[in-house]
This record gives sequence, C-alpha cells and structure tokens, in this order.
Amino acid sequence: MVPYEYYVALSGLLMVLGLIGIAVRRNIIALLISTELMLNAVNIAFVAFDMKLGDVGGQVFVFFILTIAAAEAAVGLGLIMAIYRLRRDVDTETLTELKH
Amino acid sequence: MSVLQEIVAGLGVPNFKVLIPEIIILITAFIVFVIELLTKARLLITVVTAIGLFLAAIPTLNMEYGDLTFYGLYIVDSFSLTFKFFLILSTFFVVIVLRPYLEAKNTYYGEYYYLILFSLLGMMMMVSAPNLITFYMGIELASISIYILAGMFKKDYLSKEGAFKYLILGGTGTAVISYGIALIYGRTGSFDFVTIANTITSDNLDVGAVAGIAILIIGLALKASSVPFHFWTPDAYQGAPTPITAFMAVAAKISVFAVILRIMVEAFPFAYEVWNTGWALLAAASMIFGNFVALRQDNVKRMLAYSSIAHSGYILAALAAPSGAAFTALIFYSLVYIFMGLGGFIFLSAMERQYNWSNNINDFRGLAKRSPILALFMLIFMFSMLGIPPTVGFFGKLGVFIALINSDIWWLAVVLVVMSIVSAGYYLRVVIYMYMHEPQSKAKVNLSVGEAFTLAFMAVFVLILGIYPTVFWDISQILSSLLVAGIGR
Amino acid sequence: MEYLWIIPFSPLIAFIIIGLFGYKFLKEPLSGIVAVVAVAISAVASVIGFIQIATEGGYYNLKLYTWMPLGDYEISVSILWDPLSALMTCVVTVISTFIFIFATGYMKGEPSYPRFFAYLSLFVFMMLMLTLSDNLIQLFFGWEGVGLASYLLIGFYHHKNSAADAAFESFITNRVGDWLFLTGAILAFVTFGTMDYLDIFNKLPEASYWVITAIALLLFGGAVGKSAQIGLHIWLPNAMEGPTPVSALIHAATMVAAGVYMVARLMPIFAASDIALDVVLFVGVASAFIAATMGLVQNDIKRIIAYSTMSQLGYMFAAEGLGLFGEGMFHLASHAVFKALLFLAAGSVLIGIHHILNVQKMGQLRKYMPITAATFLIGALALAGIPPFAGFFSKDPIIEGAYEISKLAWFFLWAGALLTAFYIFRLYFLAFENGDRLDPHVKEHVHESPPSMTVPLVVLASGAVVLGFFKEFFGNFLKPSLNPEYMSFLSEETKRLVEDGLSRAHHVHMAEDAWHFLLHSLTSPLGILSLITALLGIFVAWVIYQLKKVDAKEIAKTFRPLYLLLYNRWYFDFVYYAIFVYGYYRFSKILWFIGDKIIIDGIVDGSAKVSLLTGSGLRLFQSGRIGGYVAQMALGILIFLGIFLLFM
Repeated sequence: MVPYEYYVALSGLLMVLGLIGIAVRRNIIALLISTELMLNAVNIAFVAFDMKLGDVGGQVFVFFILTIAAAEAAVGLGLIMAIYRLRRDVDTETLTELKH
Repeated sequence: MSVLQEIVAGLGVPNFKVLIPEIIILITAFIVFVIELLTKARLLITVVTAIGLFLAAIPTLNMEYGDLTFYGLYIVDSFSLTFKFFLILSTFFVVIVLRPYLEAKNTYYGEYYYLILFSLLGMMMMVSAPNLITFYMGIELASISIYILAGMFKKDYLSKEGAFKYLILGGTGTAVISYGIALIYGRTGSFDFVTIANTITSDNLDVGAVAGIAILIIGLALKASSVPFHFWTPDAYQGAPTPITAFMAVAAKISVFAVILRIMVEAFPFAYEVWNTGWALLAAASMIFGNFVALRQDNVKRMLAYSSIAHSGYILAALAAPSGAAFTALIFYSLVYIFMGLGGFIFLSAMERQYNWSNNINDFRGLAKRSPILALFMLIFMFSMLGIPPTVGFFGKLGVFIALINSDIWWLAVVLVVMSIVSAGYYLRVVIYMYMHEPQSKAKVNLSVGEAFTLAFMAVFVLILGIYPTVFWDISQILSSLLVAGIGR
Repeated sequence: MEYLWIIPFSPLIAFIIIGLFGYKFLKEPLSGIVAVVAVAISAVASVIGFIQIATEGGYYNLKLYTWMPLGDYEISVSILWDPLSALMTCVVTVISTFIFIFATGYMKGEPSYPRFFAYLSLFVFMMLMLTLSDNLIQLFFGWEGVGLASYLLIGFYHHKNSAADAAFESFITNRVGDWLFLTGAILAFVTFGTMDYLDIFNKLPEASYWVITAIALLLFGGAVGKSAQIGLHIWLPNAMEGPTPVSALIHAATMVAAGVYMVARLMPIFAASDIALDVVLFVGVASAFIAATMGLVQNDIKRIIAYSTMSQLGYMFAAEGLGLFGEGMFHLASHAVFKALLFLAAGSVLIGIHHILNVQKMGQLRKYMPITAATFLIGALALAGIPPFAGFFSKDPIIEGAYEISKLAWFFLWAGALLTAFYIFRLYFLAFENGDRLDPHVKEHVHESPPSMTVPLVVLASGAVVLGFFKEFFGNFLKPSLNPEYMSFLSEETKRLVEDGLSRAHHVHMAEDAWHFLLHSLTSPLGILSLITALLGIFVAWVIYQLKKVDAKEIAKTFRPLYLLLYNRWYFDFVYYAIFVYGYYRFSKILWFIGDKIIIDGIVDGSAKVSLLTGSGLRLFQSGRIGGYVAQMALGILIFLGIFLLFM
C-alpha cells in the first residue's frame, strides 16, 4: 500500500501547480481551472489523512469542498461571460484596468 | 418508528431557539427572493429586508441562554451574539442606502437584497463557529455571495474586473484555508477548536502543526486583506457598487476579525508564539503598505480601500500580544471600525449620486461651502480614522498601543504610531480639500432620508463613543475575558 | 446630591441647541432666552447645593463617568462638591445669569446674536467643568476650554482687525501659561501616580520638598497666564475688544479668577512649599501695585477697569501667598460682584453714547443715566474699599493681614489701595460728573438703558452693598476646604504639613464678624489709616477732576517721565515686542538658513517626500495583473512559511 505521505506530497504538488497556473496562464478560464485544481489538491490531502487516521470526517469535508468549488466555478463562469460580452476577450491582459 | 423518529431519538433535537436570528435572516432572504420574482416593487423589497434585519436583531439582544448546538457544530455565546448584532446593524444601514444608489446608477436588481442577506447569514455562521467546518461553510457562503455582489454593476467593466480578481484570489484563499484545515485535521484528527487545543500541546508542536497553523493564518490574512495577501482589496473595492464596498469593508471585515480571534484563542492557544509573530509581521506590513500607498491615491474610494488595509493592520496588530488587553483592543477596534468605515464609504455612496461626482479628490473641493453639515460628517470620519480625540478612532488605536506596550512589543507600537502619522497625509488631504478650497460647482447636494440618517447616525456615534467609550470598552472587556476563559462551551 | 450634574450640563445643552438651531429656528430673542434659562437652571441647582452643603457640611465626590484608563489611573469626569467649589460655582453661575440677562439687551440687533449666546454658554460649561473638577486633567480640560471660548468671544467682531489681533494675542499668551500648567500636571502624575486632588493631597508627605515646589510653581505659571498677573498680563487690556458682557463675564468675574481658584483648590500643594507661597505673594503684590499705577493714566473706560481687575487679582494672590486663603476667596467672590457691576455699568454707558470708549469725551452722564451712574458709584465705592460696601470687608483684611506678616508687602498693597481709589473715582468723575465734553450729536440720543440691562445692575449693586456683612458666614463656610484643622479629606500627616506651611498666618487675628471688623477698623490705627487712604484717593480725584483746582495736564508735564512710564504701561508691551517679536524675528532670520532650509525642509518636507516616494514605489506592486498578484502572494507564502518552518 502506498503510504499516506505520498498522497500528501502529491496534493502539495498540485497546490503549487495551481498557484503557478494562476500566475502564468493568460486565459482567464485557465485561471478558474487552476483554482479548481487547488481545491481538488486539498481533497486529495483530506482523503489521504482519512486513510492515515481511519476516520471519515475528512471525506465529509471533501463534499463541502466539492460543493463550494462548484459554486465558485458557476460564479466564475458567469463573470467570465460578462467580461467576454463587454470586451470580447478572455485574456488576462484585459483585466488590468484597476491598478496602482 | 419512522427513520426520522429514530434519528431524533438517537441524536436529540438541535436547539433551534438559539438560531432564531439566522432563521429569520434565511426566511427573509427567501421572502425577498419570491417578491423579487413575482413583483417589481422595489420599495417593498427594501422594506421587507429592513424589517427582516430589524426582527433578527431583536433576539441577538435579548437572548438569555446561549448553547453549543447542532452536535457541536454551532455555538451561540455572548461573543457571537454581540458580533451578530453589529453585523445585522451594519447590514441594515447598507440596505437603507442601497436603493437610491442603484437607481441613480441605473443598475438596479432585486438580487442585491437576498444576496446581501445570504452573505450576512454566512458571516453570522462564521462568528458562531466552534469548529473549522462551520467556519469554512460560513466564510464561503459569505465570500461567494460577495463575489456576485461585487460584480453586479450593470454594464460596468471595472466592476466585473474587480469581482473576477476577487473571485480568483478569494478562491486561492479558500484553497489555502482548506489546505491549512487539512493539515491541522491530519495532525489532530478533529475539526473542533477545543479538541485541537487539547490534542496538541506546546511540547509536541511539530512541523505539520506549525505548517497547518501558518497556512491557515495566510488564508485568514487573505480574507482580512492583510499585506501581502491584500491584492484583491483595492481592485474589488473600487469596482464594486459603493454600498456593497461598504458592506465588504465593514461587515465582511469584522466578521473575519472575530473569527480570527476565536480560532487563535480557542484552537491554537498552545502555539501563541507562532501566531503572535505571524500576525505581528502581517500587521506591520499592512500598516506600512496600506498607509504609504494610500498617500498616492487620487480616487478617494480607492484611497479608503487602502486605508482599510491599514486598518486591518492596526486591528491585527493586537494579535501580536497574547493578553486579554490585546483581545479587548481587537474587539473594541473592530466594533468601532463599523462606524467610521460605514460612515466613510456611505458618504461616498451618497455623493456619487450627485451631479458630476467621480470620487476624485478634486470633487471634494469646497464641499464645506456647498454643504457644511456633510463636510462636517466627513471631517469626523476622517479624524476618527486618523485617530484624533475626541473621536472614537483615537481610543481604538490607544487600546492596541497600550496592549502592545504592556506586552513589550515596542517595535510594533512604534510602527503603529509612525504609520498613524503618515496616514494624516491622506486623511487631512480630504479635509483640506473640503475646507480650504473654493468649490468648483455650486450644485446643491441632495440626500435621501436613509443616507442622511445613516451619515448622521455614524457621525454622532463616532463622537459619542469618543466622549464616552466606556460602554463599548466594557463590552469588549467582557467578551475577551469570556473568550479566554472558554465560558459558554 | 446626584442632581449636581445638571450644573455643568445645562449650559452645554443650551450650547448644543443654540449651535444646531440658533440661526434657523431660534433666531434673535429665543436663543438668548434658551441660554438665560439654561444658566439660570445651573444657578438654581448650585444655590441649592450650596445651601445643602452649608447646612449639612462634609463634601461630595461624584464620579460621573470614566473617560479613559491611563495605566492604573482612570481619568473620569467628576464633581467635587465642597464649600470651595460650591462657592466658586455659585459665583460663576449667579453672576453669569445676570450677565446673560444683560447681554440679551446689549446684543439686541446684532446679526450674530445666536453665535454670541452659543459661545457664552460654551464658556460657562467649560468654566463649570473647571470649578467642579476633582482632578487635574478635567481642570486642564476646562482650563483650555475657557481659553478657547474666551478666544472666540474676544474675536467675536472678527471683521475688526484689532479684535482678531487681541484674540490671537490672548490665545498665545495663555498658551505659555497652559504649557507650564500641563507640565506641572504631568509632573504631578509622574510623582503621585494619580491626578485626583484628594489622592495627591494625601500623598504629599511622601514626595520631596523640591518636587512639590516644582509642581506648585509650574501650576502657578498657568495661573499667572490665566489670571493676567505680571509677566503674562499683556493680553487682558487688549482683550477688551470683545463685547462688554464678555469683558464682564470672562475678564472680570470668572475666567481670570480661575487662577486664584486653582491655587486655593490646590492649597495643600502650595502650603507644602514656602517657596511657592513666597512666589505667589511676590507676583500678587507686584501685580496689585503695578497694575494700579497703569490704571491711573488710561483713557479707555474698559481698559481702566481691566487694569483694576488685574490689580485686584493681585490682591487675591497676595492673600493666598500670605496664607490667608479664606480672605482671598472671599475677595474673589465680592470682587466678582462689584467688578461685574462696574463692567456692566460701563457697557450700559457705551450703549448710551454709542461706543465712545474715551473717558475724556464723556461727562455729565449722571443726568441722562441716573441708574447707571448710581450703580457705578456703588461699584466704585466697593472697589475703593469704603465701608459698608463689599470691597471694604474683603480687601481690608488682606491689607491688614499683610501688615502682620510682611511690612513690605503691606506697603505696596496699601499704596495700591490709594491708587485704586484714585483711578476709579477719576473715571467716575470724568464720565458721570463735571465737564460737558460730550459730542452734541451723541448728546441728543443719550438715554437710560432698557430694564433688561438696568435690572441686573441694580441687583448686582445691592449685592455689592450687602455681601460684605456675610463675611463671618463665608469665613466659617470655607473652613472645611481651606483650614487644615477642619479639612476632613486630609490625612493627619498632610494636615500637619499644611499647618506648618500656613503657620505664617497664625498670628494674624482679625474679627470674623463683619460688625466687629467694622468697629475694629474704625478704632485701630491701621484700620483708620486704610480708610483715610481710600478717602484721600477719592478726595484727590475729586479735587483734580471735579473741582479742577489742579490741572491733570500740568501734573503730567511736571512728572513727564513717570507719566510716560505709566501711560506706556511700564513698557511691558514694548519690551515683549522687542524680545519676542522683533528678537524672535532676527533670531529666526539667522536660523532661517540652518533651520528652515536644512532641518525643516530636510526632515519635514524630506519625510513627506520620502513617504510619497515610498507610496509611489509600493503602489507599483499593485500591477493590476492577476498573475502578478498571485506570484507576489506565492512569494509572501514562501517567506512566511519559511520564517516559521526554518526559524522556529
């Protein structure tokens, strides 16, 4: 059996990947996907810890996270639609009017 | 025996009596939803929302017995009730100034009202959380509603941009918070604050626990818009409709402060050295960054956004000292920040409806000649944020300052004082523009009843509390001592 | 005694009401009426409290509310109601009531009528905070508050340049005193760890003599500024630019007496240091004499009375310096009555003759204004110390007491009394009696003032007649506050300390009863000498200005250097101007390059510039790009985690 530390390490890696994804991707839909990636990384961590603890609390928490991720994705896609309607563009460069 | 009866017999019925405020808010939200769906009676929606908030505020004041209910997932104690009352109060003022603003800006939707109510419900859950799950659900309910609210400016690109930035960074924050929760859960096997506190002691504090706490602090700092996790704040605040900005800057902020205090004190008393240092660093960074950047803002709304970052710094600085006096100072400052924060932002919301007003500092020229009373109110808010007696802001800062000195954290106290002096640069700039410049237009300022009432109420309260801070100070003291003693669990 | 809170807050409420609604709703008569009613309520409440404490004895210390904690000490707004504060509060509220009523007539038709009454109410509130305080911080709050109100009121006619200048001068001069006072208060707090009078008194034996002396002298510095004593007196005559009721209220009866009151209030501190008492005595005697000489040659009716105020305050300080605190406070009360009377009578004259201030241009006013003239005469007799008027019973004990304690002080006080009688009757004869110098145009319109002005005059005049006969009552009444034997709030040790300090006055024996005192004065050589002195002063004034046997101008020519010295007010203003204004100007010219260019520009502007630059730099982090934000946040997370995981 794979030790749980491996799963935790994987989740950490995915978390960092998600962060990097937001930092470097230019398509705003990709930004949204990256946040989903981070949340799913957390899910892996929870399940891994449940494996270690022999508990189900973490898995319950995963459901909450899934719900919230769905809600966030819905709101995010709505905003992307609105932005696209106004600017006909989904590049992060268009999202730089508010600054300094 | 039906299944339901079995469950009830096995687990017991949750004590719904202590949930009356939340239930009223929820029902009001549904009623507003239905009214919005069926009619377009705008006044009715406002009135129903306001009545719902009013009704919900009553039980927070006269509830005699708190309880730990929902199988340990929900706590109703004096701490949460006090914060709930002030959250409802600030929401009430936002609601009564919302409609004139939205109509003037031609961006009216009925959705604003029930989204505000859902967000408020999330905040109330947050301050009532004895448990990381409830806290997480609350903060997400509040945040997601606010993402939508911030982006609801009709056909306004800046609003969408601010909201999207808030969504992405807030989503990152959510991920960070849940990762912190995962680490703490992995270490302790529990989400409950008290169980966490009992499982770990300062002797067996290992890397996993410290990392979990530190990551959770980072996530909370992001929600509290503390530097260097504040980036969403100025953009989202500037883009959002101004009453919503007021809601974000006041209600959302203080609920986060309340929950930070509760988590730190109840869940991590063993690691106070970790979070003291952490919050001290974040607070210092927030004070320095917020104040310096605010100096360079010409848009007053954005300036107030940076100033709210600086105020997060002042408030969080209290967490650098693990003493009852510091917690008292934090509670006191959070509560009184409601009055100056709402005052400042709602002033802008009222002014934005006037002819040719763009929130630029130049629009403030000669306001004292156009409307002496309004200018006086703004002067009071600015003085209070700056911390000049006899306004209440002075006591907020004084409380934090004394708490820091009593715990011998001189460097942070010095940063606080120096940064308060720096902040005079931009607060007084507004005052100087209002009082020492000639007005550019002679247009009369028209306020709605709600706006006039709100501004007068806030200004008078800032002054009254400045002259008579004892009541709030005593409340804060009682709450902090209850929190430290863990009474009500 | 809880009702006592009404006393200070009734004028405050009036201030708020008039301030908010004065111009829009209340307008001319109503705002005056609101102010009068409010201060009358205070007056009634304080008289009730006065009677209660006179019959029951003891003292009351009410803590109204705690304002803020300062370490272990909590600053609170409180009321200390003992005979001393009761007397002072009654003087303030009762005199204020009459002056307010007078002002409703005096300010008739003034466009800024509501503003005037708002300021007056604010002043009374601040003054009552001062008198009722039980701690140094509240005292200082009131102290600054009356300074602010007096600044606003002196500059009431702010379109007049001279008024604005006078207001500014008064403000600056008072700041000097206030800084000394504040330093003293802070030193007291550092030494005793408390600001409450009663705690300070009881901790006095623990402190060293020199610290007490320093505290007493610094606090006295504040009193010198507020009570316009020699050194910081130059603002008072110029402060006469304000409306006359203001001069009467602030610069005669109440605010300037605050210094005297403060010294009496903190009597144990002063009594614990004989150096402090000597300084008080010296300043008091010098002011009493020098101000009287300055009053001899002035021609502005209000300034003559102003110098007389300064001189009489000097008598009060001299009494305190001699250890005769009760006599000093009694003189304060009686002086408040007859000096308010003199000022209001002068105001009535000014209304009658359309604000001609020069006494050389008045004359024979008694024919046109009989009530004003009669009441002024009573006030003048009281000031000159002629029995049976109040001034005789309050001033003569100070002079006679001085004879027993210090012959030098006695001589100057006695000479001052001679001059006092002379200058006030010079004023009386010039203004009301012989010599028809009135402008014919003015003469046509001269008339007696309306009842709202004459009634207060008559009431105050009767006060000036009868008050003296209450000498024994006041003496006994004040004992629980000013006589260590009877002061119940002092510990035994402090009592001994205070009694030692006041021992200089122990062998002064004066009849307490007014009739015995009168009898004694008419039989003992010293008493007869005082009386003859006063009469001589009046006689000389009569000879020169009524009979005109001697020409005043001839005297001025003969003693020209002396005349110039007095006329130019001992050159105080010139010297101050030379030192502070011109000297400062030169000094700053020299320091300009070093100071302004390098230090001010360097530090103030420099730090402002650095702040702005920092702001400009830091705002670049807010690049507007989500990618940039998240990258910076990731960096923040890395550093933050690094700090904990690597260093802890």
